[in-house]
Amino acid sequence: MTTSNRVAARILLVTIGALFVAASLLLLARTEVVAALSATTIAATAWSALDEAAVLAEGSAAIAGAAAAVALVAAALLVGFALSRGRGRTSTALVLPAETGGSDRVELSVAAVRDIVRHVADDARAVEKVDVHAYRVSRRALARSGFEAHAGGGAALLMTGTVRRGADPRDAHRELSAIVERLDQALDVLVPVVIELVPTRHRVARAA
Amino acid sequence: MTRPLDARHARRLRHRSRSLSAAVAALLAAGLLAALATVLAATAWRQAAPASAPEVLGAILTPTQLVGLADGSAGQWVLVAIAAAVGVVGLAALLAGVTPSIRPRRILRDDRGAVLVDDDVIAHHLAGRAAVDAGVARSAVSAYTTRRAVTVEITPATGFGPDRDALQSAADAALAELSPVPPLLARVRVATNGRVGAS
Repeated sequence: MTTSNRVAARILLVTIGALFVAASLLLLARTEVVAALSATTIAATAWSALDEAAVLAEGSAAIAGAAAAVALVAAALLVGFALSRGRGRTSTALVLPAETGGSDRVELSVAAVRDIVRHVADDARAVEKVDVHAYRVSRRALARSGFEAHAGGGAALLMTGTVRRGADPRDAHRELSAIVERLDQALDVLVPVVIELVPTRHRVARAA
Repeated sequence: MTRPLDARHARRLRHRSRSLSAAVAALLAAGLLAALATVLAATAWRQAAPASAPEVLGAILTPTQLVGLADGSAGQWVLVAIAAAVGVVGLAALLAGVTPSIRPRRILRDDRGAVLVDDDVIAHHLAGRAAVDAGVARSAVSAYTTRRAVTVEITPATGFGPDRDALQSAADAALAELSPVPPLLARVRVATNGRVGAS
């Protein structure tokens, strides 16, 4: 539900993994612990290239400085990538913008939505408890799916229903759909909703 | 679930996020690159203005010294240990990136939004239902799911044989009504050797 680009994460993991494995094999080749590895042409070529690069960097301040700058920029980009992971959760479930000329912009917090949902979920029999979180969705994605979209985008609600042990998932689905219906009526606007049904960890929580 | 946004959410929730492993790998690589940048910057400074270079720079290796470490300046087994550690980290990152990381969840049809159900919820329900249909205690039934099937195993009391075909039909019907995506097959097994004293 977060906005992190998962393809980028996958590409980075594969690239870094492959580079680390290659570095490990190169180091092993240099130690001559594995004779077959040390005898390969690739290992010899790679080490001679590394030796030449080291001599080159030591011989010219400009080359060493440029290489240091490139390494620093790459490190900064990687730190930026790491810090941007997993973002997207928001505490605002819904924003109703002010009407033209007005100043009555309304923000509805996830806590308020959670209260409504938990109040309605009191009657549920197959679902033990419901938790709600909101995740940011871009204006474009909302518009493409036919939802009302404002300038700053909006949010999708993730409703996690903990299903009692042995309960029929169809009953749990029906109960959560009824909760969503009540929420739609209360909010008077359609927001994207994702429902996940997870099993209870309590052995005593059985379906009534 | 016909909207593109619902399909996207369902797809993302069916797969584990690689954010944490990607962030750790990125920070590790950034650390190594920063160390390399330090070595190169110190070399550049020593080359360009040796008079103004502080004494601390002397403690930083030169690129040739760094490459030379692998030539025997460091002990051979130290290098093997470093190579092994780097290899393990690399393999872990490679596996995290290559494996599909699918969560044991199915998508249910819904017009309002994306609905996902955990495989354990389905397995617990089928097990409970099979226990009632077979007339055995819930503790006599176990269920587990694999990528394509949910297996329900019933161990009745000795001398009591529940109708396996009827139980199989009931499980098939329950899954057909649920119609999860990707689909699940039901496999009901009744143990031939019953348990003494079980109800």
